[in-house]
Amino acid sequence: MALFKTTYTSLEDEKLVSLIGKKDTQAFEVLYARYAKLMYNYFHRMLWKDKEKARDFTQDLFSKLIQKTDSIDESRSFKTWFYSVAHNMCKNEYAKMEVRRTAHKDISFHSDHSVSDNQKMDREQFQLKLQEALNDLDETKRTTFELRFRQEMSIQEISDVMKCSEGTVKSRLFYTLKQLNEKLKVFEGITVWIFTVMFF
Amino acid sequence: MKKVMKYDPEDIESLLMHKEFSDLYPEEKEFVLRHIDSPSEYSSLRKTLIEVMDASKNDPWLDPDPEIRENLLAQLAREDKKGFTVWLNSLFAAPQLPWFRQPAFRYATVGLAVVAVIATIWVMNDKPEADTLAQKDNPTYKEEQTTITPLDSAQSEEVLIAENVPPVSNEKLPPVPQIASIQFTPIELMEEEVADSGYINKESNSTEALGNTNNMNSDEAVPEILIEQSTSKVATKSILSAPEMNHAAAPSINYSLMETEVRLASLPSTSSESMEEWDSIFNVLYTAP
Repeated sequence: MALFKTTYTSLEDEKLVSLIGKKDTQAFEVLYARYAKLMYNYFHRMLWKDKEKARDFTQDLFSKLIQKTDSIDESRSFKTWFYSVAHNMCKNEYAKMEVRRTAHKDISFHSDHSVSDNQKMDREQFQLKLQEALNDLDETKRTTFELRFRQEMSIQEISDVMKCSEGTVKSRLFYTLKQLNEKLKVFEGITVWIFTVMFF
Repeated sequence: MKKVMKYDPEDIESLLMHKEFSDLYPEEKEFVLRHIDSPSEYSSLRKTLIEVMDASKNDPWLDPDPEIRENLLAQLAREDKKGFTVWLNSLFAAPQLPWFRQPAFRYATVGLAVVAVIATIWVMNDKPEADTLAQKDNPTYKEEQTTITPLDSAQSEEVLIAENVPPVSNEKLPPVPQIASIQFTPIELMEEEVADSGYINKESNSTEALGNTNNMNSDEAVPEILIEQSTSKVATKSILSAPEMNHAAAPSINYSLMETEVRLASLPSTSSESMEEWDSIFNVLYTAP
């Protein structure tokens, strides 16, 4: 017999989801506080840093959670289920935005050109270049990279989200790193400079 | 014996993060060089990885628009109020039947259902009238209507009696005769039974009065009902000798009369006042409407 009232913040995600199924507003608020920022930034990064898209996708994602609490697979962890839904939303968006994405690359190229002309390669520029390099990656590698280094998920969680084996996830991460290394070689000098600034 | 490798690419990530190539153990170097071309590439990858991780960490986290939360809470409130939604295109949905998915077919089905409901209501509203017409054409229905008429007249007589007869005590009321105890006796026998009554003349007069009221001759009246235990069978006989009297109504009439008869029987027969009272009661009883 429980002697103390259980607070919502101490409940696991799965329990909160079952409460949301009963239209418990407080449970929803706790879950939203846990995941809203993560999902918003995930969409922001995965959707070319478009804040409007990130906003709309975050709202859609939570809206699906409200509507489909009954259809959530209870055998899976909520976190991986939630990210897999977000991942599928991004995949659909990539398919829709194929043409625009090509245009986005062209714009990036011009931007890159102007940057090299001005020799303004500071940390912010490195961030931009990294983002562009990530945008050039195919969707699976980019998602794997984002989930691993940005969302700090484990290999097992990523394999659950992307519905592939852990070995595949590891392999993708390694080859993504190699690909990024090729694209960011031009920044080796600045990288050394950044390290110098950071450590000294 | 060849050593089994225990590392995989994720472990390279770990090695890249934590060790320079020169710090690797020989078996780690062997493993790394299976996936990476040279020690210089290892160093380059290491720098890139650290830089990327550092960049990811330093990339500021954005706060979602508060409007998202408000919209979602409003949606949750709406979902709470909403019981369930039935979409028109989900009516009669049968996904396993491709032909059924056609919108035209669905609308046609809904239309047919509406027509069927309207037709059912129409038929149900018309049914009572149709039944009445059918009964009018039916000969047995006519007979029933004919036999009901005396029942109504008998009931009106009962009401009349109840209105005019003074209240009677029910304390010594004899039991109501059952239908099984009612005898059908020819009128001749009845007259013999009541011959000793001093009021036989009144009975015959009142019988004539009733007969006239019903446009029938009292002599033509055939079987009649007689209550066995009645001491003043005159009243019963007179009432029931109406030619068109429905026997089904007799028990209730008898019962009303029985109350009167008890009252009559309780009166002393030698008193002149009681005789007047008898007369007044009989006048009330046999006054045709």
